[in-house]
Parts: sequence; structure tokens; C-alpha cells
Amino acid sequence: MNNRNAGSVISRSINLLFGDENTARWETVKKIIRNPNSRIGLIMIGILILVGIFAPFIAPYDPYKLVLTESLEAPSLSHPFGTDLYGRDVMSRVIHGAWIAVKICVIGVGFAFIIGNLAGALSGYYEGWIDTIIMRIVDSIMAFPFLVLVIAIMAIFGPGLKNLYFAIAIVSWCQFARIVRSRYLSEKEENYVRAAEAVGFSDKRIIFGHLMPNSIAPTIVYASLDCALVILLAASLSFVGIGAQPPIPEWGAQIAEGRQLLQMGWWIATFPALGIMYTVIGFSLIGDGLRDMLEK
Amino acid sequence: MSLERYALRRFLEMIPVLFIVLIIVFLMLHFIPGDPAKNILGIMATPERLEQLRKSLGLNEPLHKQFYVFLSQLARGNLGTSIRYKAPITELIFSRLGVTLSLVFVSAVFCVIISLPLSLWATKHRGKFPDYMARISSLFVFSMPEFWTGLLFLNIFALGLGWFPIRGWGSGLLDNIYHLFLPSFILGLFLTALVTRTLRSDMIEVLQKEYIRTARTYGFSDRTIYLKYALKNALLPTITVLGLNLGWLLGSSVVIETVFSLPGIGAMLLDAVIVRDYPLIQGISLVFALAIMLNNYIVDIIYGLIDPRIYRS
Amino acid sequence: MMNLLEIKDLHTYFEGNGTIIKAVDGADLSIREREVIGLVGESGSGKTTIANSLLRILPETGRIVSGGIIFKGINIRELSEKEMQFKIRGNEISMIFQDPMVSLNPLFTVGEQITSVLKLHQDIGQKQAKTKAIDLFRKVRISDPEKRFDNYPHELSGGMIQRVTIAMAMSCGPSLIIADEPTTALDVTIANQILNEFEELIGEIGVSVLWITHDLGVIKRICDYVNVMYAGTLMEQGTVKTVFENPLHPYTFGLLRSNVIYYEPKSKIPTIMGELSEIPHQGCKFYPRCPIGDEDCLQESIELRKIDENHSIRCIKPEDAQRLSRSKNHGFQEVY
Repeated sequence: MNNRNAGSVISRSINLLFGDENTARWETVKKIIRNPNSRIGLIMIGILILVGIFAPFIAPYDPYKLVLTESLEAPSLSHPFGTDLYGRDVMSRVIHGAWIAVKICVIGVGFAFIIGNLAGALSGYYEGWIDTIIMRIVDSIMAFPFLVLVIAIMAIFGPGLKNLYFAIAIVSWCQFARIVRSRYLSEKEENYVRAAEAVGFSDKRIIFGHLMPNSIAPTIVYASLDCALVILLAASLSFVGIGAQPPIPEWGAQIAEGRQLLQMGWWIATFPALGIMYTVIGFSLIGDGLRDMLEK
Repeated sequence: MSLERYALRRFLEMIPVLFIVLIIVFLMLHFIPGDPAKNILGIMATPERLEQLRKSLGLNEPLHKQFYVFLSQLARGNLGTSIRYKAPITELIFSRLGVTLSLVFVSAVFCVIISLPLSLWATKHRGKFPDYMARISSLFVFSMPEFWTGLLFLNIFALGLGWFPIRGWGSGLLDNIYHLFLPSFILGLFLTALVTRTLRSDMIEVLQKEYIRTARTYGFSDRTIYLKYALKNALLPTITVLGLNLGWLLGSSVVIETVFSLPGIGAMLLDAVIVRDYPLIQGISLVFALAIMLNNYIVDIIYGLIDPRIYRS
Repeated sequence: MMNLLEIKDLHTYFEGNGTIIKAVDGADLSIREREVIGLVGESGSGKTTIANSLLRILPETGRIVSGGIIFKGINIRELSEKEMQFKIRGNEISMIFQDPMVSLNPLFTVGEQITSVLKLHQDIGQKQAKTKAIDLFRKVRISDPEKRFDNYPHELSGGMIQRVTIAMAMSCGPSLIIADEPTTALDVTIANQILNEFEELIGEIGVSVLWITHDLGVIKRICDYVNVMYAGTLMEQGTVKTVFENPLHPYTFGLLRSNVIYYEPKSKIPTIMGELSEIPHQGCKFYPRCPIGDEDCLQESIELRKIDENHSIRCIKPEDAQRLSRSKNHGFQEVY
């Protein structure tokens, strides 16, 4: 009871979310699987994650190796997605791109999720001046177009994938904070919170033990939608040259490389684009399915 | 509370946000790791040039003094000078603002023209084939990266079929619309995908409400119910979505302007990033933020006009 | 004298996901001019569905399968949708609903909503409609009618909104008003007030009323006739006096007997055992919960039998029912 370090909080949260003594949670999981939207979405993203993790084993060729003699080959049996200008196998690059996409979502949205949840929790629970300050900051950050602010951050700190994660997290946490805050504001009035307060539980315990598990659902919905947005965002940035730098096989960067070659080598830009579409559709379906479920 | 007081209150609430926005923009220059001046000049850095740049940007002064200078210049409408173009940023922005605004405007028009009838049609036939088609195509359109669609359309319709100009801007209103058509169509398509999803589900929700049943009981035709009663109620959350997506639109303008070589401020921002023209980056970011704040304000007022429950209690 | 409304053997079913719900399965109703008819039953007995069938505003999954609905000599089922919209709904037959707070559109003023009804069915302009509307507001005892005209629903109390809906229902001079539990969602004092005023009004304008409720007290107070529904079928029908004094159908008897007002404080109140869900496929629907039923009750279909001039029941054991009602009275008749 006195171990309030990060580790115990995380493990307790996971227990709360997935523990199988708690059949209510299992019911939720079953409902998620039953909904066609989320089911398809989860399968799609599951495949994506697997492809990403096992990319070095699945990809037939080295995505970075230049084989100038085989440049610009159309899709064939040996190169199902064709080769690009430098003879690199497009399919291998697309597969490795999947791993990058997964990293972007997990790191970028992951951090935004954590920061946003905490900020929203503080804001919603304590209200008063903490709320005012946090919300004003949120409003100010959200006053900038998502892309513009990320571009500005990349301009300041330099291009590259690492800074991209950072920029995404800085900008995305705001929406999470808003969702969590409004949820806390309404849940605070519920009886179970009043009961916990009356018994004398500490603020931390009420926030993490009671309010957070009940407020996490809408943030998870937004998290999956945010992943979809973030993939598009990262691709746009890499496309204009600010995001992932060549020769990293990020999908947007690949489309940029294939930009001039649409007539001669349509496959170079098209397959990465399909990868993006696949991922965005997957995340959107999960988000839609979860949202349908929440509203029942 | 009357509408005027509500408008005033919302305006006053914007002020602290504006202040923080200004701080953020101001700090952009100062967050640069290392020496900002060296960063800007890059390989062209000589000690004299560095000192000159620092002086012109006022980097030698203490921070709060710089902020004061920043604010007072802003109050006079001076956004600073572009390092690359060596011209006042305010002028630069205004000369190209028109392009971006027209892009945004025409995209919004496309969106309304397509999404309104599409949503109503999908609502009317909900659960059946047209509805599924509309929803699936929305999902597909939404998932395509705009720049790729832009490239595709550019290649097919401009380069390939020659129906539209490949790049740049025209002269005169009609010519400009001609140049704008393809890029705004693409942006409009994406907006449509977003808006149709919300509008359709909101319409369906509203149609279940009791007051719609009352209207049917009193003999109002389906057409009247859809267009007059249900739409007004469903439009509310949709306006929020549409209005608040201006941010997304402006962001996308950066990419689309690049693909189609339109001389708007989005493309200018990108150039500025590549050459590290920080004052210009600051200026454009600020203008974007102000545009969005203004837009949100207008959306709030429109919301109040439609739903009096917001301020009348 | 021809009946204003004659509903004969109505069957309305809902279809969804392969299952059929027989919301109304054999209902008969007749209303004459200037009559107030009560329609009573538990939730789920099909009362509202009858009203929706009459106005043909069933949801997409609902269908009138068979039965006759004759209003003023016109076959309602044969009218086109346009004729229903223009001539019948809101015009000849109007309806008022249970929860006033959600019955009106929150984005339009009450004045706008009532004038649009007036302008829809009558050939008048905005000015005339407004004058008429304010007159109607005055008639239903809305204070300060000119000011209220420009109010939005959320600015008015529940009772006030209900008056507005009553005004709206009366606005085009209907011959029949359907009241679907209009006082259930209101405070008791307000409900009383509105009930009184409503009684006066219908006397004044000479309209017939179909009052749907599960509250027997209200029926007793303002209705001339009563129809008792169970599981979509009409079980007993007659004048209020006859049915309340001498309930013959076991279900009616059970309903009346379980009404709280007839008992001393702290005494045990009898209930009807079982639930609405156990419905046999043929024969009497009430059989599973009936104290006097036997296998005969499960025969093909039970007809509505006339016991008296103004009293019919759907039961094959009226004598047993009578014995039951007389023997287990618990002072039932004295209180009445």
C-alpha cells in the first residue's frame, strides 16, 4: 500500500484493465471482439504489428541495399512490388515501413496518451487554477494547425524520426487532456467518487484507482483515431522532407521518392500509399467499433 | 444572457490564450538548440555576420526585453523581416494569403456541395446499400494521404489528360479558379469524408428523438422533417466538426500547395523551414494561429445563433 | 348514430432480425362523438401501438397486418400518405404525449412550432396564425401568452409545455384527440390542474378523447368508457361504472384489486403473479397468470363476448370470474 512508484501503478492499471477475476472487463473484451468494426480493425492492426516486429525476417531483401543494375523493375515474381530507382526491393521497404509506422504510433501517441491522461486528470479533478493553466495551454497549442506546429518544432530541432516522435507527442496530448478532463468533471459527481472521498481515500488513490479506470475508455477510442491521424501526419512530413530522412523506408518518404516517377514507376509510390491506407483504415475501424460500443 | 454578452464573454476568454500563443511563437526562436544565429546562417557563418544577425534579431538583449520588443512590433503590425527574402514578413504573408484562403474557401464549398446531399441520402437509406457505399467510400477517402491523391490526380488529370494546369497560379478570377479546381477538389473530398461520417450519424440520432415523432404526428412531410427540423439539430455537432477542422485544412494546405506549386503561405512555410528562415516561420505560424482562433470564435457565435440553449438560461 | 372511430380486430406486428412481435393482436375500439374513452393496460400491452397504428406513424419495422380502422366513415388504411399528412394528422386527429420536455423541438420557439402546424393545415398567413396561437395559449390558461410565444421549450416548465402541446393538439379543430399518458411525467399537483382544465376544455369544444394510461384513477375520473388491454389484445370493455364496479375479466379484476388506493396503510397489497413474457401461442393470452384458467382456455381463439349492453369481455368463464370478484373482495366494493 505504500509503494506508489510508477511500476506498481502501471501493473495495477493493467490488472484493472485485463484481470480475469474481474468478469466485467472480460465482458467488455468480448463485446469488442463481437463488433465487426473493431474486430476487423484489430485483426488488421494485429497483422501490421506482427509484420513490423518480424520485418527483418519477413522481408526478402535488405531495404537499404542499392542494386543499381535492377533499378526500376516492374512488379514481378522476384520483386512483387517492383524495385525503385536504386534497385531496392519495394516490398521489403514497405514491410520495414510497417515497423516504423508501429513505432510512430506507439511512441508518439503513447507519450501523448500518458501525458494527456495525467494532465486531464489533474485538470478535471482539482479544477481551480491548475485547470485554468493547463486548459489555457491546451487551447493555445490547439490554436495552431497540427501540421504547422509540428513543422515548426521540426524546424527548431531539426528533421528526423526521433524529433518527429517528440513533436507528435507535444501536440497530441492536448486532445487527450480535453477528453479526460471533461470525463473527470462529470464522473466526479458520481456516487462512487463521493463514497471514496467520504471514506477518506487520498486524492491519488481516488484519481488512479477510481476515476482513471472509468475514464480511460473514451481516450482509447481517441487513441486509435489519433494513430490514424498521426500516420498520415508523419507521412506528410516525410513527404515534404522534414520527417524521416532518406534512406529510412518510411512510407511518406517512399512516396516522395516515387513522386517524379509516377509515369515510369508507379509502384514505387503506390505500394507505400496502400500501406498507409491499410493502417489508417485499421485504426479507424478500431476507433469506430470502440465508439459504437461505448454508446450502447 | 443575450447573444451580444455571450459574444463579448467568449472574446474576453480568448485573450489569455492569445497571450500564450504569442509566447509560444516568440519562444520558437529561442528553443533552437545551440546558437540560433549560427543555426540560421549555417555554413555562411562568419563572426561578423553572426554578430550582425544577432543584432538585427535583437538576440543580445535579455529575454523579457526581447519579448517586449516583439509585442510592440506586433502591435504596429510588424512581423519582422524575412532573412531569405529580405522583405517585411507582413507584406510577404499578405501577398500570398489570398491564394491559401481561396484554396480553403473553395475546398469548403466542395465539401458542403458533396457532403450535404450525400449525408441526407445515406440517412434516408440507412442500413441499406447506398448507406454502406457512402460509409465505406468515406473511410477509403479518409485513409488516403492527400499528397498521394494530389499526385495521382495531378498525373491523371493534368499531366495525362491535360484538363487542368500542372502548376502555379493564374491571372484573373476565372483562371485562378481553374488552377484551384484540382487542389480544392482533393481537400474538399477529404473534408467530405470527415463531415459525412458525423453528419450521417447525427442525423440518424436526431431522427430517433421524440420531437421528430411529434412532427410526424402533426402531419409534416418527410421532406420538411428532414430539411427543416432534423437537419438543424444535426447540423450543430457537424458545424463544430467542420469549423474546428479549419486547422486541419490549413495544415493540409501546406502539403497541397507544395504538390500543386500554388504560391500560398503554406508552401512558403515549407520553404522557410528548409532555409531556416525562422522569423518567417514565426510569422506564418502566428498568422495561422490567429486565423484559427478567429474561426473558432465565429463558430461559437454561429453555434449560439442556432442553439439558444447555449447562452440563454 | 355512426361511430366517430371504429377499430375492428386490429393486428399490428413488428418485424426485426427474424422475430415477429405481435404488439397488437386483436384490439377493438369504438368511439362516438363527445366521448372520452380510456385505454388501460400495463407497459407493453400495445396501447401506444394502437394510437400509432391509427395515425399510421409506426416505425419502419411495424406493419398493420389486418383489421379495420374506420374514421368518420373513411377507411384509414386506404388513405395515401399525403392524405394522412394533410387531412388526418394534426388536423382531424391529434395526439399529446407523455414527456413534455422532449416532445418539442429545442431549437425552435413554441410559437413557431404551433404556427407552423396552423399554417400547414389551414390556409392562413403568419400574422393570422400568430393571433390564433396566442388565443389558444390563453384558452389553455398559459399566463402572458404573447411573451410565451417567443420562448424556447427549455425556458418553460413541464406543465407549461404540456399546455402548449394541448393547445397545439386543439389548434386545427380535431374531432379526436389521443392523449398518451400526458400526466404521467408531471408533478401530482400540476397533473391535477391540467386534468381539470383538460376536462373543461373538451367539454367546451366537444372533441372526443382517447385517453391512454396505466393509471386507473385517471380513467375513473374523466373517462366514460374503458378498454382493458393485455399483451396486445382487448380483454374487457365497458362503461367505467360497470367495469370498475363489476369487473368480469380476471385480469381487470387483478388490476383493480392491486390498486393502492383501495387499501389501508401497512396492509398487504395483492399483485398479479407472473410476467408479461409468458404468452401462449393460442387461446387466452392471460392464461399463465389467471387464477381460474384451465385447458379450455387454450383453444383456438377467444372471441369478445357481449355480457351486457355496455359490457364485453374476452373470457370463456365469465361466471367463474364473477364468483371470484364477489368472494375475494376485501372491502373492494365499499371503498369504491
